[in-house]
Amino acid sequence: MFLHFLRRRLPLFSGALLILFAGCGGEKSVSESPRAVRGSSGGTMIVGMDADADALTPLMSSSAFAGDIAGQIFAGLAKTDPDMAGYSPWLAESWEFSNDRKELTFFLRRDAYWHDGVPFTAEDVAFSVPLYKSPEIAYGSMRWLRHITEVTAVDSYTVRFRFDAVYPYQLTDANVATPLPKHILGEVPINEIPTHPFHRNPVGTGPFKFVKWEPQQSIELEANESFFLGRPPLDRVVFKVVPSQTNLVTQLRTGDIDFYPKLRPEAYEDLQDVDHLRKLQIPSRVYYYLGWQNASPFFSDRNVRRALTMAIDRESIVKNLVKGRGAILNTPILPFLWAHDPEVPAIPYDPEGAKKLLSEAGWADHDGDGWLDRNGTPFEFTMKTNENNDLRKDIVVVVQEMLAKLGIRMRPETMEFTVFIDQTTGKDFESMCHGWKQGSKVDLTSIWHTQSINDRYNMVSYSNPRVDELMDRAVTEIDREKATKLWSEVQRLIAADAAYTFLFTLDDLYAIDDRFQNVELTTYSWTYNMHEWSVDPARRKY
Amino acid sequence: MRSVLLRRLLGTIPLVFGISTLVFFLAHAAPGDPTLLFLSDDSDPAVAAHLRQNFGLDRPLHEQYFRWLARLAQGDFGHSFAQKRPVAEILMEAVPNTLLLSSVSLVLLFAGGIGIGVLSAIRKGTWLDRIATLLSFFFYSMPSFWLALMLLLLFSYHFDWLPASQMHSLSFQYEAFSWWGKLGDRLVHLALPALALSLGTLAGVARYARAGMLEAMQQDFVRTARAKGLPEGTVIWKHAFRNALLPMITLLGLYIPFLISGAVIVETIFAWPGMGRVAITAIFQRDYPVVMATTILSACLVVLGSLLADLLYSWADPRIRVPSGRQAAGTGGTPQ
Repeated sequence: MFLHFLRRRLPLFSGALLILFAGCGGEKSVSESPRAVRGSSGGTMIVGMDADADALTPLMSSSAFAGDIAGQIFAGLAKTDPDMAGYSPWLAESWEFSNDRKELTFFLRRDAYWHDGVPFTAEDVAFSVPLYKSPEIAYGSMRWLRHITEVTAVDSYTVRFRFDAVYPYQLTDANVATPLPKHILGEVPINEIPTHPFHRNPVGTGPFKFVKWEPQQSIELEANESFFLGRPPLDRVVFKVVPSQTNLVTQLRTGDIDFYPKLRPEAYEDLQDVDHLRKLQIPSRVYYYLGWQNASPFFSDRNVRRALTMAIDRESIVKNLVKGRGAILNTPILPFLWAHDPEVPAIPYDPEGAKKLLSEAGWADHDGDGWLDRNGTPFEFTMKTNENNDLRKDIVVVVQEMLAKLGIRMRPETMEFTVFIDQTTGKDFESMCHGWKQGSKVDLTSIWHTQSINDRYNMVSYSNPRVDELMDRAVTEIDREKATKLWSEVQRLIAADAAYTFLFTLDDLYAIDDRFQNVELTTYSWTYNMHEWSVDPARRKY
Repeated sequence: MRSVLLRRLLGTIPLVFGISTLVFFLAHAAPGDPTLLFLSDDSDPAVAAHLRQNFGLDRPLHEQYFRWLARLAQGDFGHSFAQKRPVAEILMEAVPNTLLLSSVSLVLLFAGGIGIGVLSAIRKGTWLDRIATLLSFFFYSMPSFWLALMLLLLFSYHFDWLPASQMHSLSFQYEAFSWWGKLGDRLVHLALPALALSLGTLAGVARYARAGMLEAMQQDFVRTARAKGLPEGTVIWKHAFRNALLPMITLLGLYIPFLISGAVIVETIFAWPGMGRVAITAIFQRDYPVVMATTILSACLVVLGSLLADLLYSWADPRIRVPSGRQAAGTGGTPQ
């Protein structure tokens, strides 16, 4: 029972292994409400949150909600477009590459101010990047900055990034280090930065100002009157910490919470009859899969892996386990990304075909006990997943039954999340049910490259020299059209090799009180245009 | 008396030390890695190494232990890995909230439980006794998380009488209240968690109190008191009740630790910002400094709780009262 509640406390754990905080885009979904030219000012929104934040600066926050809130307090140089293919001006009005593409110059707005009134300048940018790169701070996405060798303030409103390599994601990487105020942190010794009170009392340049944080209770932000795009319509946004999903859903019904961005499918179903809530379903960045350990004698044969995929009825899994709030997936690149290839041939649900492939590989019921065997070894293995995730556990049980029909005996094994990560990244598993949260960059090397087998995340020990070669070319290809072709071939090969059985992408499920207007939720982030959200003046509550 | 108290207090030191040492090695022996929370799939392995260094996890375990012990001796609980701030600060926020909830529940459950128990005993066999018995068993057998959810659905959702979560209204509203308004606001927010935490145990106490009272009323001294022609009220309250109270004190000693640990579930359901939530989050994040600090604190609270029960016991029961004055000088002991 304990875990039932705890699972809600750790949003990071339930959906996916990892969250890449910086830059990403996604399919745009416009809410059904009429779009006002500019919403009238005033009103408060209360956002439900299932776990407290850890820190409120982009440098130190690691939980999902903390990052979302920090994203309202701080502004980056450029803003990721909802279609995720490009960037729009934000703190920077424009930018340009040098002819050799080794220098990227940002031209900054002159009307941006820190919340304490100090002007934002190029000095802040030049100060911030080295912090994100500093080993003492150990920023999670530090590696993204490895090609940035130098950042110089050319003048107060021009800042230049110098790179030691030319690659497609230079702009993305330059945008990772969200600027921090030099006038506050400039004199702080670097080893004191991680524990500095600033992370709990932040001053940014974003649309909302930090007001108050009551630990385990609430975080309050208010409109930044001098935001460079104009004051956001909402007076105030309060993030209310309610760890119990039952309680959260109850408060959505009673109107004590206006918006909750992480509904579970059963709660979403449950809220359908509540008239004052708009229910929205947006493709998420998360996908679920089964991983087969290619180094294990059971799964080293590609045809066996394909047979296992053919044995699994993914359609019924999507229909029954996630109530249709998701879509079957066939490739490692999610549909909202530009490099996704919708034409990748799917491995069909075909138990008969699976049987045939298995018997060709030598797996048949030789001893007549009803289970498959080969050379005296029964086809019997474990599938690992983590305890705190009911959906994964349900998937494993359903898959167990589907495989049993073919005479394959699979034993589920669940364990606590951190143990699960330790074992899977250590390749200590035969098969597993796991998930990924897709970052903004199209780069599959850390998961699928042969060289990554010795790192952490090529957990299934996948190796295909042709895939390696294509990926090596694709990650440095500047021309997006050529890159798309390369990635397309990579996806086809990976899909055909069936080292993963790709299951489905899950939709993000939202409920929002219908007095709010101009709300645009995207796959990239539900906070994408929070600075434009407003309240219907006739229906303002507080 | 004072020397006994002192001795008991000193005796808790090795106990708490032993518990925390055990927990330190158990926590570190458990699989899992606190740096995992901060890494992404393209994190440099160097980042993990730096984090381990920042957290002091790169040193041998025994060294970590002695460093931790040395700091603890100076009253320093260290820094939380996850929240990047002093553990003492986190505890200062959470512990008073847990103590508030627990102490209110404690008063509720003993006052209510004893009251109902004594009443059923006096009116044994009447409809009042039967209803009280039925309700006691009903609440006593109910798991606390379920009771909490039912209270939530009933009083917050259906009747909309009581707030569903938090310690007080959101600060932008709360700050505008008057002093009395703030007090009232806090009380209504306290209602559901305190009820959820105390109802089940209250029912248990009521059963004990009823049994204790019935037993006391059949004792010889009660019969004697009645035979003396004392008024019934005096018989019940002065003679029977006082004696029935004794086992209640033992129960108090048993329930204090439960209130502190049982609060975890209630705190989670009603978003009460207490120590239970801090501890559980820390365990799952492998936030060792916080895990250690909360363990030590719980251990201390439990030990103090049982000490309190013992003291109350000796106060209430002259038979085991600690010898005092000139006798104490001679024996100094306590029959414990």
